[in-house]
Amino acid sequence: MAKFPLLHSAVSIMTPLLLAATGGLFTELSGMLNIALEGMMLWGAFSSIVFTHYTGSLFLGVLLALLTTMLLAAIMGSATLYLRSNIFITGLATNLLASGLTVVLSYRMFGNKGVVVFKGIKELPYLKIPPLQSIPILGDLLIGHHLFVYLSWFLLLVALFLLYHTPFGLRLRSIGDNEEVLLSLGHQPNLYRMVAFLIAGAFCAFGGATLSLSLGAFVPNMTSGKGWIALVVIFLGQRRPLGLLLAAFVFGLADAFSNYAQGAFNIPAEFILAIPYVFTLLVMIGLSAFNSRRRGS
Amino acid sequence: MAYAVEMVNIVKRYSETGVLANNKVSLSLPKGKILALAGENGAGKSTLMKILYGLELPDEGSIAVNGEGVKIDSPLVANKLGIGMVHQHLMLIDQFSVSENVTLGQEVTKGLRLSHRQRDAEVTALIERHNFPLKAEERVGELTLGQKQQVEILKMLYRNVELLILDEPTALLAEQEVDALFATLRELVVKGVSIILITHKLREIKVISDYLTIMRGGEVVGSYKTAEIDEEEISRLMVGRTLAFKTDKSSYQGEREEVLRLEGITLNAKGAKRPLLNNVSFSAFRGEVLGFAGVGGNGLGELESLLGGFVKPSEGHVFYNGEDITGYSPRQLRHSGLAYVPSNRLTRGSASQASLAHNLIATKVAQFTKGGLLQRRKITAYSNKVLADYAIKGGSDAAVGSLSGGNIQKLILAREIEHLHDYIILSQPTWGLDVESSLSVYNKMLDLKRRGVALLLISSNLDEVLALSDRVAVFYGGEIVALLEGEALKGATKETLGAYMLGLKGGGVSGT
Amino acid sequence: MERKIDLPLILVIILLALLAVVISVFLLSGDPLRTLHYFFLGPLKGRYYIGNFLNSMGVLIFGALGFSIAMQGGSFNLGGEGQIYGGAFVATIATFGLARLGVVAPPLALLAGALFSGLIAALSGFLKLRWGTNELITTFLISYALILVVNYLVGGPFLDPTTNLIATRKIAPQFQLAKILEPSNLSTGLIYALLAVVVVSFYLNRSRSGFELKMMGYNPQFALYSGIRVGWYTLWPMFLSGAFYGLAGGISIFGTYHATVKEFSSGMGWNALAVALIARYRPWAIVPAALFFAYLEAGSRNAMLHSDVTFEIISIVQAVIFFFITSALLKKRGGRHG
Repeated sequence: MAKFPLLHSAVSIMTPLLLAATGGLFTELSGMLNIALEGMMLWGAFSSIVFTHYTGSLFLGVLLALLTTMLLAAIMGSATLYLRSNIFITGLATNLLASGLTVVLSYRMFGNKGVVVFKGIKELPYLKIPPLQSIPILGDLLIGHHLFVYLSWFLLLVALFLLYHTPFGLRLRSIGDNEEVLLSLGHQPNLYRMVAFLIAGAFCAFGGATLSLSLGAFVPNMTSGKGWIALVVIFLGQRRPLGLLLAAFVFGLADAFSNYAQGAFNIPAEFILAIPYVFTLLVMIGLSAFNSRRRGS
Repeated sequence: MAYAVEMVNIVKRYSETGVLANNKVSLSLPKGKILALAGENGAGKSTLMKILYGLELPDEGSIAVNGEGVKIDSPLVANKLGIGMVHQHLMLIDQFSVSENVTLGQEVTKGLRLSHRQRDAEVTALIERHNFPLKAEERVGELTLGQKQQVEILKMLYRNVELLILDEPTALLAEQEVDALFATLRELVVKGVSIILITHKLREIKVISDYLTIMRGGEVVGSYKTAEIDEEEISRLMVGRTLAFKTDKSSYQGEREEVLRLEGITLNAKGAKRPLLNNVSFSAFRGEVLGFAGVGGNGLGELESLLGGFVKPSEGHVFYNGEDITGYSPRQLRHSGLAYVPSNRLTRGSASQASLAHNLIATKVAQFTKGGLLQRRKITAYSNKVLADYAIKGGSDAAVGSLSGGNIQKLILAREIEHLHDYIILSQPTWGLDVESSLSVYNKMLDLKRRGVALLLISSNLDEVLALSDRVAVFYGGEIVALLEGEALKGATKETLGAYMLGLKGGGVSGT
Repeated sequence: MERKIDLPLILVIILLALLAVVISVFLLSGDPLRTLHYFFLGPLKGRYYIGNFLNSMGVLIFGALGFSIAMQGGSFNLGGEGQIYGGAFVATIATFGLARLGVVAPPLALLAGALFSGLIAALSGFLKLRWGTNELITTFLISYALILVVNYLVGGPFLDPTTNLIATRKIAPQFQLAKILEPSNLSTGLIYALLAVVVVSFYLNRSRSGFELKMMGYNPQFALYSGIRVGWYTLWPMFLSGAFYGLAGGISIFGTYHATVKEFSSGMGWNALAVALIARYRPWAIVPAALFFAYLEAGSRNAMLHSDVTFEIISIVQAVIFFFITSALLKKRGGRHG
């Protein structure tokens, strides 16, 4: 069994963060501050478990969650890009819509505004290779996780490929730097940004699904700030796919540790819940202090 | 004769503003020739070229390329037809390499994948074919302006264009870089490329073009073979009348008193290899125009910000009438007597959503306040008076954003002159103004000079600098490499200044 | 400089919001007609409902003023949720200590709440000033952390064990605002809110400080260039903004709740933000916008009480408003908005 349980749980905790951050990297690199990762992930969490519950199939459930989250992303994208609304306000709208809609629907479907446990949902498939699992550190990090953990690693590689080895990625990154350039060559920057929104939606759907399906239940606002932390992971990871992996792991470790601390020192739950916000805040401040010092002003 | 392009009776009206930018404009260019498209700002040149490049759609009219009627509704279509355009504001991604910039939008791929190696090879071959001093792998952000423009041209050559449009390509270049650009253009013509050059500089028209089409107020006023028309005639057609651009330099009768002095000013930037300003010293005197010339990126922008209080020097001192004002904030400088017309009139010089009246009093709101409250009647009266005195078109309550660029510039000048104590900093005071507005600015400046004001003129318009200045400081690499005055200045031409500005000559600091 | 309120825009937004209500009710309710009946007519049925509906206007006005002042000064304060809640809590606690001071105690307690939230918001202003940290994000994050801290305090150290609610003790009667329309909740708080509109409008349009604050909002570079104290005007609008949010919280305790109930203000900050956006940050326009939004809010409460949808349906309406309100299509030609 796991020799370093903290490392092991850090890896599973970081998975939804990594997925959302990887998706958010696309919108970020195209020059948009996307605060709706939170809402898109929440919708992904709700829809994936509900669809899995009703279809009886994990694959179909996740697929439908993917499509509906992308629809949500498309709504935000259209409002932002084609109606030219302020992206922060449309991001807020997406978050409010997701948190309102999940509660309203949950009440309508299950007569319950609180935690909904889905008994019929099967446990996620796990990768179990006992002899390898007992290798210290490496075994804890790499083996014994559920499907979505490995999916997140695979998708990170996909993102790396898309962003740095395809014309799409090159063009998307050019838009983030100066959208006029692509426009002057006859391409529509908004088209690329829309695709970035859709990709962000898809990745966030996976991230949300990780949360609800690994728990077998939906908890109102169960993302509890993870979308915001995903944003910080992007900044901390220097907007590079591999940097994201490292930053997400640091957050996973911190979270795993605070879970442990809560049990060990009996800290009030509210303070534990506040950690993501406070941590995000400190990182934001630290980063801006670092940047302003480097600019030397 | 075979024509590379023929545009016939093009009409374009902008629906938002109702401006008729092109009114039945026609133009044609024989293959393998250079056409200069000349005219003042706002004559409709850029609109016409944007139509040809597919960035704007005409309301009426037809276009033929190589004799065939075409509809160009996107730059992609233009590229396919062999038309390329180099924009006035360079369209480059600084973080990307030369080859990435050149191939962007038409990438070299192997299946789905970008082929980095093949791309670099192709672009290197292209660079070698045209003898540009560039490397395919270099980051564009590290290139000089002249090199960046070459990357822009490469971008179009990569797309195999046969007709190249250049929108005011020399606006940001020093004279010597202009020569290099023109050499390139001539080579391209030999290889069969046709070129349209948007410009309003007379000398360039004569030097480089075979044909000339002149626009004014959205209409074509004439098309000529360049050899058959002289500069005066061109100037007359562009402006509508002949301009006497002569100024009287010596008119201040008072004593030569120092107002502002910079001593050993150095401005370091973190992470930069060399200082942005290096040991800069000069004095500005009453009744004198001190001109500053330099290519972009050589310290003039920093000098402007420093004089305006936006940045503080790392070393050195600034004295104002003998008082040490080093490191003063804009607020402190305003109190001590700063008047300053910034180069960027929209981001720094005005608040476009605020009213004209409020823009006029923003620098001295205390004078219009009693007991913490604004004296509204006094503000309106003052504003109405200033607007009338300076012939600014617009009511006191109108938003500044609703004014034309020329009127905004007049408003800023009016505010600063009204604020004036004994010195004023003018940065690019006539940028984007038409000839007549520019002349009225010059007259205003000379009037201030007669009144004994010290004027510091920072301008990229060398004609202006040479015509108005009593002394000229030339900046290169953050240093003053020449201070021309007296006979040396009288004999100076744009080429002389250009040589200093590019660092080809140096150490000519003479006098104070 | 825009004194006119453009009617078509407001109409479009009102129509969109109503459409959002109707569509979501049809999709989500088993008996849509009954739900719509309660939604739209419920708030108007009799003194009690009308009073309650008007009462929530007061808090919305204070909150919307809070967001608008920051916006007029060029800063975003997205911390309304936490600053309302925190201000309410501090005002509540302050009443316990100040009770002996007599007549001056109620305004002092309100000011304590306002001061607290003002300082919380000013902290984001400080971070922006010092290191350029984006205040949009810091106000939001601090606000969410603050909510959790107040939750802890309300549910722990300050819990009133004598009730079933998770709430603090009740404030003394001397602090409670007079009722206007018994038996409804409508209190003099609404009158104070209207007064606040007058004060803020006067401040922005007639005072020198208001002038400088607006210049900062129009163009901070220009403000710096003109010699306006930009450092101060990075902090001050944020402080004022937070203070008004804090007042919104205090007034809802003194007028309506009489104790800080756990998460009683949940959603108020976003509602106030919606009101401010509809009003485009203009103090006078906030009044009708708050009336409209209070009506929607009361409608969803009624629909929840008498039918099968939950109160959260209002977030869907909010979302629809937020998606469209800043759209360039709704802006009048040539108009510029922050």
